[in-house]
Amino acid sequence: MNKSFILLFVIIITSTFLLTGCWNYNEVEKLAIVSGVAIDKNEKDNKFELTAEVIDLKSTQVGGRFNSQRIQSDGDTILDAIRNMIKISAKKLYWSHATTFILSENVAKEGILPVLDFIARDKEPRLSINIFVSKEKTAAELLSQQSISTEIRSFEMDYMLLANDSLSKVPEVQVYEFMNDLSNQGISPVLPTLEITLNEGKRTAELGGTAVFKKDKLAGFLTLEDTKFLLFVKDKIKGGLLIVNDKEGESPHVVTLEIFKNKTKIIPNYSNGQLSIDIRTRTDVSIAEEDTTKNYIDEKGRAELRKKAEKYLERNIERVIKQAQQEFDSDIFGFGNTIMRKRPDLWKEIGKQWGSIFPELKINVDADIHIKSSGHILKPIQVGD
Amino acid sequence: MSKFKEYSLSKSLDSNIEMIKKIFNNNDDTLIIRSFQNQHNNSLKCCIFFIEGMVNNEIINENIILPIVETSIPSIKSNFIEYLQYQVIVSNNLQKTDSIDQLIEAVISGNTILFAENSLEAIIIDTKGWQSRAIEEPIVERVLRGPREGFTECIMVNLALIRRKLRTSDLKFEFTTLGERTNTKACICYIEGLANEKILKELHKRLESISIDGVLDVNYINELVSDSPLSPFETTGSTERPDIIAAKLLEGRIALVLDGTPVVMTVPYLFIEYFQSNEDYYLNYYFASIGRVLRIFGFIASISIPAVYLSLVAFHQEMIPTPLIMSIYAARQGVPFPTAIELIVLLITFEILREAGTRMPSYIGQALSIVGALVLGSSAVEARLVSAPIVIVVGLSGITGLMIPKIKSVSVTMRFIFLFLSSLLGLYGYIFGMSALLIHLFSIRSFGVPYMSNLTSLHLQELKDTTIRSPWWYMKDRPGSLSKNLRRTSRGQRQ
Repeated sequence: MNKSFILLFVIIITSTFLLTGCWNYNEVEKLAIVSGVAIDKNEKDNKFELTAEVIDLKSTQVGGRFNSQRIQSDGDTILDAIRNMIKISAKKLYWSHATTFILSENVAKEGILPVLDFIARDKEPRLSINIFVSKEKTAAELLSQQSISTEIRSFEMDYMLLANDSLSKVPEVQVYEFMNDLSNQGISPVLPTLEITLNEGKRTAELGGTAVFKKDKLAGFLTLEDTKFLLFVKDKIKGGLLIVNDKEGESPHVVTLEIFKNKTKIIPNYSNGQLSIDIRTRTDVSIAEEDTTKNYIDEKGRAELRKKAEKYLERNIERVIKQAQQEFDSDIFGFGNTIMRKRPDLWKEIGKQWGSIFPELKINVDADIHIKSSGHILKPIQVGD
Repeated sequence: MSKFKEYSLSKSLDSNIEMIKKIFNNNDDTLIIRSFQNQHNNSLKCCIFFIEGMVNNEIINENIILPIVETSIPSIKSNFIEYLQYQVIVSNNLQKTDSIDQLIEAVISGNTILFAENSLEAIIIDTKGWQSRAIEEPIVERVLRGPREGFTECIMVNLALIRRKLRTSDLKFEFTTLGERTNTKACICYIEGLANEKILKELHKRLESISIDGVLDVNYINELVSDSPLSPFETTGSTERPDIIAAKLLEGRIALVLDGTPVVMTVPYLFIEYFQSNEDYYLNYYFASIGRVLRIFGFIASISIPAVYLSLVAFHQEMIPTPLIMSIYAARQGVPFPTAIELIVLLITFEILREAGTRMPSYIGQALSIVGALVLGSSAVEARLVSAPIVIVVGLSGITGLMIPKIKSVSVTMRFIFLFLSSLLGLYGYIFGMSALLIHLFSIRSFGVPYMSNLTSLHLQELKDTTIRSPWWYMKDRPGSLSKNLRRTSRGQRQ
């Protein structure tokens, strides 16, 4: 080995130590693993109040249940509040396994940027975190209610959102998607919400529909049922039910359709200075439940049911879009974004005035429903005398 | 290289006897000196020398002493020794010489020398016959299916075992002697027309340059001739099985058989040969391929598992799935030592247990495994001295390391080096070590053949016997860069 080689070797080895960024030898038990955090704002002194849920291992035996603990602190900024927690926990909070951020309504109303900045800038939190907006007075109270599937509330909220695939009543938005929607033109972001309900007399957290944003500020809420139609337009339906009511006929009844597959296309039309949007959905469903002996399985009945369901879907989608246009004035469906991608020339003209165009936008909804099956029965159950 | 220049044979039998006695020690009781004379002619005096224990006594009694004593000799006085050679002594292998060196060498290698009165020459009679081990299956290379014979310590028996598998006159044996004091007989075997002459020449050259006192096992030679003497990887192969040697010779490799050891060396030796087992070729190729993939995976796992575990747990907690880190977290509650110390201590303990078990009589072995598994493992976890995942990590690493006994030296050293690197730098250190290992592997050669040659080839025929063992009907060519005749003669019906 010659001298220059040894010198090079020493330089490389020493620089590996100097240029290693910010990771370090850290034993697991020296960390406080954060599973989620609730962010509130104190009205009086305008300070952030953070409630972090930390996985508690004091009382845990190997193979036992994991409990959670809450650490509360406040600070002028989010990071300040987080650092202040060290005063209480004696361990550094570790954010890489956090799944849930809950914002109180007034934090969301004042602007979500400080929260996003912390998640995006800090090395530990992941961009796959779920952000919820609390519909209750504070965000912190959601972390201290009864839990059903796991003692760690934040993970339970994460699981609730995962299980939403066959419910399709809340938008599944992770931080990176939210940030994309926020920074893109012609689209406004949405977030799922949480509220408290009673389960066997005990208060517990449940999913509560959609929080609609305009720019980075909360503009309003959509109900769980309305969110489904929002998801239809956003082409994010993975399952869920369509409940078709027949109130007019001689015997009012209701048929439940289960959604298997859905594909939505948004087509902007521009002719004679008149902009309109066509929404075409194609949905595969099966008859999942009916409370009548009326035969919807044969060809005639199927066509009738199909027509009813299509009408129901079209009417509701139109209603939700109207609500967004008039009540929130927020393009949560991304119509502007679709125009920008499909007709960049047109977007150059109208992009600047999109804020004033959107509330007046003409929408045509065309639903196309295919009834694929009727479960395990070929004929409706007959009721004899 | 005559060592006995000052000595020479004389016509007097007595002075010859004195000379031999002097060359050996006077008190050497293993040297047997037996003088006798013909019963019809007292002037016909003879004397034989041999070494007790190295000769077949029956041959000496029946075929040397008895004929000479009983023969009714006509009075030919001039070349009596020639008469003995051609008409009296019954032996399939004998030689007349006047070189003292040859005579001494003959005696110490188990032959008998015969002096006769009034002769300036002596006769060497082949009487070798010492106790040797029977041919049995080598303990360290057992197979479920396949030939069960193994080499013994006797070179001639070993060569016969090879010859019995390769009945071709192309199989060449070249003898040489190694070791200045042990004078160990060695034999280079190869198949003419298959073996690469350049490699053969290189082996000859390296063997000639050896200067060593004693050669007791092929590893003496291996360390003197191998290409990268400092590398933990071996660049010469070794086996105790004739079937493996026959297969390697058929691939164009060259074998070195050494007297006194059942281990035979082969060159060149490539990295993939660590993972090839003779059983691969005797079993169904699907099963063999699975076994081989497992062995390669086992090697990588064995050197990586402790380092990767340490990196993840101590540096990159974000890479561990949340439920897993929670159970590791719970398991580490109350453990006083850092993970790195736990791992190093437990790995050393494992090596101690393994080393203790290797040379232990089998009836104590059971106690050892109980001590190892129960006392050290479970009690340490129960006493919270180590965390449970560490025991699993060390156990896995140890077991996968034992999958290929031959590569043990590499896996043990690399395991500790990688662990050390990742305790400093986390995954970065591990990858740093892994790159260095790969660079090293790709830089070394075995007798001019790149160590990784057939693993990195772009030709399908080169890869057919590496990570998977292709069926015999597909292996049409020999591994390249070893043999000059590439075509294997496996022309089956699926040609």
